[in-house]
Amino acid sequence: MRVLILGCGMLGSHLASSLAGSGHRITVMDASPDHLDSLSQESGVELLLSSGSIMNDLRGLTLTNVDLFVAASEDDCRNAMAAQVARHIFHVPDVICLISDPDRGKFYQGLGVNTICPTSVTVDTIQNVLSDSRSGSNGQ
Amino acid sequence: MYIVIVGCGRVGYSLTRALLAMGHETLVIDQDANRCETIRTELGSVVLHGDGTDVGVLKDAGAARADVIIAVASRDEDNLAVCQVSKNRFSTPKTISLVKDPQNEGLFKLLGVDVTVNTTHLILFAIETEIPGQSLVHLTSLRPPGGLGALEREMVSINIPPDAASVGKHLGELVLPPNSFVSLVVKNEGPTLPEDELRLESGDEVVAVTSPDEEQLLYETLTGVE
Repeated sequence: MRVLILGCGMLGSHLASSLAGSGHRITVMDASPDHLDSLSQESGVELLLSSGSIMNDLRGLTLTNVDLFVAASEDDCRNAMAAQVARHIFHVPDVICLISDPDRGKFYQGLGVNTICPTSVTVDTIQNVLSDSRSGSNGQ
Repeated sequence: MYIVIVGCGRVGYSLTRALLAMGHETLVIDQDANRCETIRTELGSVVLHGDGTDVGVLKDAGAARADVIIAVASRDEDNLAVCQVSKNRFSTPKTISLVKDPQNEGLFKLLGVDVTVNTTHLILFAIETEIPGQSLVHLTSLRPPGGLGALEREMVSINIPPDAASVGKHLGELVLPPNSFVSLVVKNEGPTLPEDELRLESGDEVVAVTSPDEEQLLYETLTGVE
């Protein structure tokens, strides 16, 4: 699969190297050269310095063969806009949008944007750990 | 009317003042606490400190009863978020947004923003009108409601120079590009309907509808020297 990831922060860079390791063809774009430097050359990920204009960046790429676009920058509003550009203007088949504010995440999910909220995922995980340990201690 | 403005930079500030002066109930939201304080001192309790893209903040601002929401923050993505939340969560009747990157205008329209104001176009327009001897001026863009697929049209004004081959010709004689037509001719006597038999004179201002790719050809047809 060909995957395009916006944002080479903690999440974007790890997602990129992990997916590249599974044999996918990955391009990561970020407006900060420092962020891009965090990915090693050996990772096999194609790095792209973003102009800051989402529309410009995506227009510059041939998106016809991109199967999945992941908006994974650290900025909710930027991700929301990029995801909608990818979906509505460039018709990328699959789009995933990371939104860290749970309320905002629900809002965009309601608009039909495929949203993942890292905050909710983390909170749910911790809650599961708590309920597991509670049921564990109950069992003793 | 109740008007909520998001972003209190130069545009937001001037807008807030103007709308208050017009007697509208106005509230401006900004993220910068210092700026909010300055506005509060000067204009009174018309400020809310917070992130205007946030559903909760817009709720506190009374977005549900706002007649108009105007997004004039500094980034396009924030302004889009403000308008989308207002429209979809609070059913705001009219959303107006500043658009910095002209390429985003179509997207904003597609995603339901009612009115987009493109700063780049406005500045270009101001510059074009100010430059003496400039003979093609963009008046407005006529984006059809159909969205991105529809042909983009614009309205331009072209000044007829004395040496143009079109001088002395009837409008009906001119062969214009296929998607272009004259909608008005402003003569010394005043605006005139573009009848086929109307004769062009030096100094006439021709107001025409065209498309970005035909603009140059239209300009050459009207002002070119034979």
